[in-house]
Amino acid sequence: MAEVKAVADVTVAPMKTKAPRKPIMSLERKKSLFGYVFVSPIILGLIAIYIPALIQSIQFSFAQSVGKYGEELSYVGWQNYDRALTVEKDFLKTVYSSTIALLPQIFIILIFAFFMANILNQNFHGRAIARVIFFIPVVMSTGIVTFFDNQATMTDTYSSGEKLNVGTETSAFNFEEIQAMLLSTLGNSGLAEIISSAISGLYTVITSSGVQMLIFLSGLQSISINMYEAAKVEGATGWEVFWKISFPMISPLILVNLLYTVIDLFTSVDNQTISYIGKYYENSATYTVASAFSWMYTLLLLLFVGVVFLLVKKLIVYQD
Amino acid sequence: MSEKTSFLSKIPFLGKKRKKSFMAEMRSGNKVQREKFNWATWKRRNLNLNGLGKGIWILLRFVIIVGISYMILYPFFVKLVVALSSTEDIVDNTVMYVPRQGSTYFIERAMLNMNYWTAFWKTAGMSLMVAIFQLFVAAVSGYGFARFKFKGKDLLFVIVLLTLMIPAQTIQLPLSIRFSHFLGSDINLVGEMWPVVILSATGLGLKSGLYIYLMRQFFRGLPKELENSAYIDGAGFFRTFFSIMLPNAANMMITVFLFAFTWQWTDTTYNSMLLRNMEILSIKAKIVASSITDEAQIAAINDTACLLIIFPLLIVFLFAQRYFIQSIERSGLVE
Repeated sequence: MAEVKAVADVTVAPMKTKAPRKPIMSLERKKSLFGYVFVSPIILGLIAIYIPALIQSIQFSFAQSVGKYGEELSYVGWQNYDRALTVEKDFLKTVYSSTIALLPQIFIILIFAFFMANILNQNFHGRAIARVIFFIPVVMSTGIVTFFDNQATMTDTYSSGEKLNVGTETSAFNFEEIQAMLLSTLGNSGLAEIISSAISGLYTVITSSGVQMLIFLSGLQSISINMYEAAKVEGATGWEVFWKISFPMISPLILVNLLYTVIDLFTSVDNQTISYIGKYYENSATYTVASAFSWMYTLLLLLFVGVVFLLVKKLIVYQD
Repeated sequence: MSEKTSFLSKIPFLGKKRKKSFMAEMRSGNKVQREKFNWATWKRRNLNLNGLGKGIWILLRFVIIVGISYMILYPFFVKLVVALSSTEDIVDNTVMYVPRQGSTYFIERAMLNMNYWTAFWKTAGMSLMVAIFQLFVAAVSGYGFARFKFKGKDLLFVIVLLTLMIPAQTIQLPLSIRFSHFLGSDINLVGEMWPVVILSATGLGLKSGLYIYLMRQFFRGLPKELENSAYIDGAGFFRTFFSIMLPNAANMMITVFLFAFTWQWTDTTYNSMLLRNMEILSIKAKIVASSITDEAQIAAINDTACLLIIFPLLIVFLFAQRYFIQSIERSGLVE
């Protein structure tokens, strides 16, 4: 019986190979071809829109003035850059001061996001509701809402002589009572100032750390439960589990979040430098100067991101 | 001994009591049943290792969560109060959180000044289009980046991340030139929704890089066996992608869609560059108080307009939040 089967196999096999076959691509080539197909929308966008726009923007930064549709460029070499560095002294000052102001915020946002992600990862009653509430700012506190926050603070200062009323204090939060309490208990010391400024900055931190929290939380969720169980069996304390398991496991995400935070803070509409450059863009006479500003700022930002990336990359534990 | 009982207790149908609780669990749609409060169990669970320390942590955690939730919800609450106040209420210092007279004056006024319903439908249509395109591009190219090897892949991915890093205003004028003479013709798209839609469809929209990154990381986290078995069964690349990978990514896709939709809804960056005077909420909102002179009323109208703009988003978020939270739990973002 077995022999018959073997014979049958032998007779069938050559028939299969004899059948005419189309020359096919190797799987690897096919896969790389389909890779291009899958990313084709991006390639199309980059070639047709983004890269030409970038090149044109660089051209503008070397031109005297820009016509309504970007024609009639007369090149003036490095004049705009020269002007940015020597004549418009506020530019470098703004870049410097806004960068310095943002540095501590980067770390506060990262630490806050990490801390809150750890809390939201724990088990407690009402965790589902807490998660929903904590992610409301990710969705809501962008764009036009930030615009209104600034509007309301403006009206807040208008009416600062009056007693506070509901209509004018909705901007972010009313911390005046807390601040007054701090000042009365701690005296007019530096400590009270630091604490009160930290509290009033907390709202900004909460609203701008949502995406980071999301990324950390999903990283924490992806750590295998077996690791925690093994640690528990070995008798590790919660503190050890945190430093020996959770922290190294999500350290790649610290880099991701760090870069995201830097990019988010330095390119957001409320960034001081961005709004400073924006003023030059509004006037068509200084448009080319604004382009030069933009490119200098962009290069500085890229340099900064690159340095941060290389520095932090060394601290990361990759596991495979 | 204790280990043995805890092991047994996980198996249903052991004894009457277990069976009963199992049935109850089945009835309640597999929801976890809250057990009766027992001081001894609570103490063992929450105060075991370093007793007091853990108790303090639970208290602290509670305070932090309640405090931050309060900070997040308070502005919404005050905006709601203001929106329902009358013109007298907002200047009356004795009125705080409950409007005395109450009226819908501010809501009506803000709706009138924004041309609310027209702007609402236009915004909704645009945000929906943009979100669909963003999601499609992010999913497709995220998969391409995650699972295919081709020349220049890493460079391309770096460029995608660079588009996040270069401030949008840098290419503001070149972009609007491109869209006011679309493809070298006389077609002027500036002032309509098409520039934003086209940018989203080519992975250049608002925060496209982030969405592509999120989808790429998600697909990288999925086991390769999933596709390999589909390939062995004879499915092609597209078939595998659409019928195997996408359904697995549903939760992450809902998250990306939610972000793309709501961020487009409130966006001001691209809107002021490319949409100019289009009648959408985030543009109309900037001039909502322009015809009013009274300062308190300006503030009140601003608050009401803000609430009117984000209220639909709040509803969308409440519907989507379940999938959103699930996507966090299952995404497994790994580097």
